Amino acid sequence: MQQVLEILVSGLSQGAVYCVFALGLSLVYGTSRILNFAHGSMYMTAAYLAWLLTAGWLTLPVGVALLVLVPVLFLFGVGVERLVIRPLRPHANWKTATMMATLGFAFVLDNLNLVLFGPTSITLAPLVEGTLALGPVVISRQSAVTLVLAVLVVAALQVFLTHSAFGRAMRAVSQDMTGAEMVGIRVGRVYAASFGISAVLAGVAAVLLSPVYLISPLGGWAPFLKAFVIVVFGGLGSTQGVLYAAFILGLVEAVVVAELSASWTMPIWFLVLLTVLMVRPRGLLGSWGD
Amino acid sequence: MSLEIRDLHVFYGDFHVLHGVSLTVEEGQLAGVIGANGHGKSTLLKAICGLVPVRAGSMTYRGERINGLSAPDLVARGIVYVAEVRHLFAQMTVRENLMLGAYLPRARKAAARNLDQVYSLYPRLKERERQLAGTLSGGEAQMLALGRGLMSEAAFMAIDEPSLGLAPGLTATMLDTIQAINARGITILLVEQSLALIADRVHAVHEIEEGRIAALAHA
Amino acid sequence: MTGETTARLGFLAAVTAFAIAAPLIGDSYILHVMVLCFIWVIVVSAWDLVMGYAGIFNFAQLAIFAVGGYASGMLAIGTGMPPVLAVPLAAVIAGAFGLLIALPCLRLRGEYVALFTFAVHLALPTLLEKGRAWGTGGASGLVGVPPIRIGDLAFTTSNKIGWYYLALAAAAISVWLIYFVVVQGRWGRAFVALRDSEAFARSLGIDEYRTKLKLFTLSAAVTGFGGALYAHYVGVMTPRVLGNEFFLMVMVMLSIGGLGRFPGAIFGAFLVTVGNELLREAGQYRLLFLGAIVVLVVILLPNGVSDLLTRRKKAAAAKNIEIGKADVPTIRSGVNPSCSP
Repeated sequence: MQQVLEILVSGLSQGAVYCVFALGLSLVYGTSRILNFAHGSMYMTAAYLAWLLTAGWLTLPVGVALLVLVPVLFLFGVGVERLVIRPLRPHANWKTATMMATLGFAFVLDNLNLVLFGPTSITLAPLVEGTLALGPVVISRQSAVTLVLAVLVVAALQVFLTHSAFGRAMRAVSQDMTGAEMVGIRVGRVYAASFGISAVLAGVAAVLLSPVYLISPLGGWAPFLKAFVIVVFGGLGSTQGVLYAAFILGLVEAVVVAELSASWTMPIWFLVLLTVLMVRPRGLLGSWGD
Repeated sequence: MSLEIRDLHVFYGDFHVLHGVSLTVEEGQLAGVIGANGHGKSTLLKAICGLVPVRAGSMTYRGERINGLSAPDLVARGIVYVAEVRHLFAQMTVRENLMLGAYLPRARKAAARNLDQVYSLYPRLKERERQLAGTLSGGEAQMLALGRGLMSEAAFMAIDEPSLGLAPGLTATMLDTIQAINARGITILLVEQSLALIADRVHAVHEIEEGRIAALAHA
Repeated sequence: MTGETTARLGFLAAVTAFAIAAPLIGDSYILHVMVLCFIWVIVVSAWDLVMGYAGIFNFAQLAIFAVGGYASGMLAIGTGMPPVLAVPLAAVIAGAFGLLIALPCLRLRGEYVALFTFAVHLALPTLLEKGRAWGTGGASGLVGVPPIRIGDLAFTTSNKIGWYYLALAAAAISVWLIYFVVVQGRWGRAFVALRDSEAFARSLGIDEYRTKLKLFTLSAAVTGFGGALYAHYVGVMTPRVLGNEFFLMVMVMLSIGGLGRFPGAIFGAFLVTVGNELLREAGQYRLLFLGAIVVLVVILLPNGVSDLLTRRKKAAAAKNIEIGKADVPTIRSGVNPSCSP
């Protein structure tokens, strides 16, 4: 029983962070129909930046570093959209072009990190140390804080999307781009903002996950693949779907790690992906439509 | 003079759709554009509303040159497009759709007043306020499209085939409300396929044929 | 003379020129680079067939390449099969692998294909590293892949002239098959129609899914053939072929060449292979540089090098557009007197 509860907590907190990360991928796809292959590399870049702020260059507390990173990453995301994505939009084959460009950009970031920080893995200090006893169940404070923070971020995003004017505009763009233009929404700004928010979400996930997983130049691809499986499982572009899928898969992963071994996680994720593609390619809540 | 178009040329890729269209719409007019499918009626409206690029010619609205302005720029000036494919936000409620019509600051200030007007014009929309737009019937969706246009604090509405997909009785009701909108001082350029449908309602008619204003359609 | 005939003649002339040039080159390093060029021509042409002409977002190209190389190497090392047989068999295996990738995802929307194929690419190295028991050689890969022998002729790594002709012939056959038989044949027209308008293609009675499956399988077989040649040429095959470097290289090749713009991809293969050799000095900055090139080329030359040629023509054409003012009839708009504002 005790072990089951521990698996449950670790699965939930893992799922919550995956949700934060995958929402970024989903949000960008939802508004702009762009599959950002650089999402994982942006996550890693954010992790390196956090490391610079907390250990490599300055010695800020992790929480403060996170606050510094939010605006920086938002501008970074907006910059990527402006410089890499926007010039491709007018082209007839923009879909292929944006995939190639974001993939190329991912390699630029990876190799930039490699050149700047070297191939050896580094680690990020956790937000909090120690453990927390909830009756018979002992969990690390870090995973409790992670769970709370991730849930807060997801909730904040939901509130923003449903209750703010700009958030509604973002949803409008994802449902009907021309319709959005017809009511006066500047679609370009929505695209840029969704990239900015997506980069911030990647950064939050990076700060929460990096104490557990190490930071290395190619370390972004595993979380990217997981985010992709979550997004496919939940339905490409559906935020609600991502929410459910992330928690389900987070729990599945926790069970796999506890019962089999950590090296089985990626094959299991892959198996889930295959099954979803074969059985329900639209995902839990996804809908087709361009 | 509200809208003045001179020698407008529009291309889709290499395909020349509008071959030098000129027309004027007076302030407060309800003007009609008729013509068969594929002759460029919709393209004309989209060009006016900044949704397709203009290759050559000039468009002025209330004396200001509006070529090359984006759709949001034009909405900010009160020029609103109501499309034949209605471009509603299917996963949002009727009310959310209407409130998005009032997205820009100018319209947001007038949102409460305009929402009352829309609901008095289309009580049906008030009944369905909380329903998702994607679940509306064809007629209700058309009402929502027009209502959303009104919410943008429109001064000039370009309305594309409001009768599309509607039963004849419903079409008449819809055209009645369009006349009512016009009676409130909103200039309207209305596209329809057949003259018979709108002959008794419009102040002026332009017929478009193969991308040109073709003939005196009604006098 | 039609464009097609010109292309065919140009192709034959190029192959002949390469064949005559070999003895004149002499220098074994240059011959080595040319062999690599020819092998990449095979891989990138096959990729162009799927990505450029059929419009399928396949990012598993290098995975298929690796499967071809590994299959041939493992057959030759593990079973002692003569490489002359192992190479074509590897092509068949790679084709089957391609079919397996294509089956679950080709019915889905493009983005799913892109992500799924890329997931295959990312998953394969782990599989190869863990597959030591099956003869993949684990992380250190296959060492001592035997050279191809035809009769008494041994194509060892040091036999540069021999490899030059072998790779040239293989590339020529692959390119001929892909661009002149498939792209310009009935199949090719079918999927160009598919790419441009699915509705139109369906009206012609083209079954999209089956057409895409066939194409993907064929492209995978050709790619696997290229991978097998590569394995026997360099004599080793490691999971590192799935690393950043090769992936970036083929991406630059295709983007520089332009998708679906024969002979752009071939030109790209030469340019990038030679460029990559010249950049060896740059060390770890080379990959950074390659990544930046992908982004810049995609943004600045969306159709690859052919943009450099057509851009000038277009600029000239734009000036000459005649807007037929004379055709415009007099405007006779009507006013409805019974109903004035």
